[in-house]
Amino acid sequence: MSGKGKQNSKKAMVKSGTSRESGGKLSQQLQQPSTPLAADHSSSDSSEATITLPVIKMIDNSKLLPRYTSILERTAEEGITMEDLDILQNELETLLSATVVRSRLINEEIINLNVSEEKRDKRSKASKSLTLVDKKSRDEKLKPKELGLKSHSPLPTKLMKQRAAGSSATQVVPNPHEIIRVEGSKLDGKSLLPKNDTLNKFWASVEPYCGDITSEDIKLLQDLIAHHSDLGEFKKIPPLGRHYTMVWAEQELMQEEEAGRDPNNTEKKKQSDVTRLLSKVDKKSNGISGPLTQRLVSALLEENVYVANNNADNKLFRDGDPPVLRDLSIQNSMNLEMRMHKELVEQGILDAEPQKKNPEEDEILMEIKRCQRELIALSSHNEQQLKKLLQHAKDECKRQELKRKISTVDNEVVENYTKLVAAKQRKVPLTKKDQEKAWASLKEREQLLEQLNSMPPNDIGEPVVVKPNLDTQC
Amino acid sequence: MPFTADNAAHQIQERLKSINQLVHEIEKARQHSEVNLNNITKTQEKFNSEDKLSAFHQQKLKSVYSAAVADAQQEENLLRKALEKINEIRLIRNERRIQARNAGNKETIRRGALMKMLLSTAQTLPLYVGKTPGAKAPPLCGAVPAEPTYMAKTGDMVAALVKGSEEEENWILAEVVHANTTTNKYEVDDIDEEQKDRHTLSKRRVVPLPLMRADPETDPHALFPKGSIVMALYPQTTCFYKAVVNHLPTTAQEEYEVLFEDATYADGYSPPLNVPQRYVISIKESKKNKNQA
Repeated sequence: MSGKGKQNSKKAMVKSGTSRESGGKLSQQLQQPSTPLAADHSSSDSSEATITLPVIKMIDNSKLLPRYTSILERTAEEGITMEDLDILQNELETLLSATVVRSRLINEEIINLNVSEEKRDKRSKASKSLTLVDKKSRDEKLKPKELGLKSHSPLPTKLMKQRAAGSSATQVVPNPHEIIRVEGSKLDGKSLLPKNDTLNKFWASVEPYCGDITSEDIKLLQDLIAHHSDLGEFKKIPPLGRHYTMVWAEQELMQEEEAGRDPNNTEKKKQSDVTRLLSKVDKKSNGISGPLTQRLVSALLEENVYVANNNADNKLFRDGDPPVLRDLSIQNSMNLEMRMHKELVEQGILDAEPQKKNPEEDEILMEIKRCQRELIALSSHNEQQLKKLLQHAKDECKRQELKRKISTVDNEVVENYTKLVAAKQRKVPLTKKDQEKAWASLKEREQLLEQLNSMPPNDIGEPVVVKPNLDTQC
Repeated sequence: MPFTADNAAHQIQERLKSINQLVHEIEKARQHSEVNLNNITKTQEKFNSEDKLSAFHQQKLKSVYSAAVADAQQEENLLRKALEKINEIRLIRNERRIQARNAGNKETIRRGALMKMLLSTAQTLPLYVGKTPGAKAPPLCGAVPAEPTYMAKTGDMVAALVKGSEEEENWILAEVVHANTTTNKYEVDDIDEEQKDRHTLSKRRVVPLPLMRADPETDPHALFPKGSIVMALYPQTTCFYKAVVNHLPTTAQEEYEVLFEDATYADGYSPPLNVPQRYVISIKESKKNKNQA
């Protein structure tokens, strides 16, 4: 892409020379040949050196900035006169505009470079999910810039995307806190440099492990547990059906037919084709089943089948065939198979043993049963764990509730204490009512602390015992 | 602060000198940055010949870019300083002019000269170039209206809705003689010297003109979007009429191209006419009647 980019830029340069004419004044700007701003932020590694910088070259001074140039050539005594001012202002403005545009472009380019660099780093180490979130956020930040920072409209949709990405990426349990955090960082991040949301990202990732347990979390756990109870669907063993290759073949045929079908025309005809074809297949495969029967038939019918296939009416057997063969087409071919087997055993050609087993107990069934056993075991284990979690969560909820109460009571106590101190300073004894209130809140606090202590210790390692931090004596 | 003639001349001279100096500094800064810009080109060429951009190359590019940005900022500062000085000179001269007028020596300008003056003041209106991309432009820059509580200062140009002789109302170009912030009333002079009368108008009927031009290259968001309905000064007149923005300026020196509502034309609009940024303001719908073009 780089080679092509160069050529483009030269074209752009030539064009820009003419496009920037204004009111017959100066302001023809030459653009420095460089690669054009491809602005291809989405593809990775796309930030290859690609900017067209508007630069007024020194060589063009006299052409583009005549007054400016003439002032430069004057001696210090001559200086600038009032007459120069208007045109000089114009020329200086042109320069300023070009300079600012240039520095903005370069700045943007630097940001792009940073982005691609970070991407590269990330790719090597950090987990894939994080990069995804990252890339998205980066793109978001860049896009508004491309649009001249004017449009805020793309933001909401992106937040939605971000929500999806964020929640699925970080952990299984979607946590409202975490999402809020990520959103927050997104909004802040827009005005910041791209690097600075690392901090927020860290806290967002830690949040679900430290945050309070909400009723939503508990509900989610309950839902998950409920989910485990209905495994019925997986315990079902479907009845023996046709072999999968046949089902698949049929589906494929249907699909092909679907794809090749003309919108309106010939539809019916083709459909009928398929059904006919299928019925033919059915006839053959259902008619002769069981390995023994098939072997027998193939031994007897080698050439006949061939001929039969060519028959116009697609009949498997010709009218002249012996009645034994007619028997073959009976519907319940299993019977035939069994009869044949019995016959063969009686003749002493076959051993009775291998066929003895129940036709139900083939290896696929065994596998299905094995999988189901595993699934049930796993599910019950998971359920246990979830129940344990739920119990913990509920306990924690109670604990949080207590803590909240304690903190309000704490505040009350502190309030009372300050009142007490104030009263002491003024040497006025506390009113009876105030004293009672103070005692009441103290007692309530103690009681709550007791409750908290009496709760089973949680295994998070958090100190359960809250030391009384205030001692008020009245 | 009042200026004596000598004082003003002295102040202006001083500034002219520093502008001269700044111009030389600017030239030096540009020479300096050109070296770096050439470096960028070379670096890019070199890297472009290779297909993959390695980490090393990125580093290299980044360093030349940073240098170029630093240069550009240096240049920008100097240019801003120089333009600031120029603006100061203009303010001093305007101050002198107001003083002279208050003293009673009113200069009479012929119509042709007046038109020329209007154009040149529009062209030399200070240019606003945002410090950061997307920075919000200040009030009275380009299309950004004044804050609701803003009162124009003495000597400022405004559009004023005045009653003419035949009960018709017109938005005229006027200069503020006095702004009374307690009563919210303006005394304005018609810019056209031939109309001798002075008008006293409530704030509602006065729209201050922009004090700065917006640079279309750096702050396009401070311009009226294409198709917006505005009030614009009809060329070669001193009246504002309703118009539709047809074409935006693309450089700081360019003007808007607008179509005036004009019943004398078949499609109700005048052919495209150019109006400088200074004389294009957001529309203020009068309740009673529209202006007749």
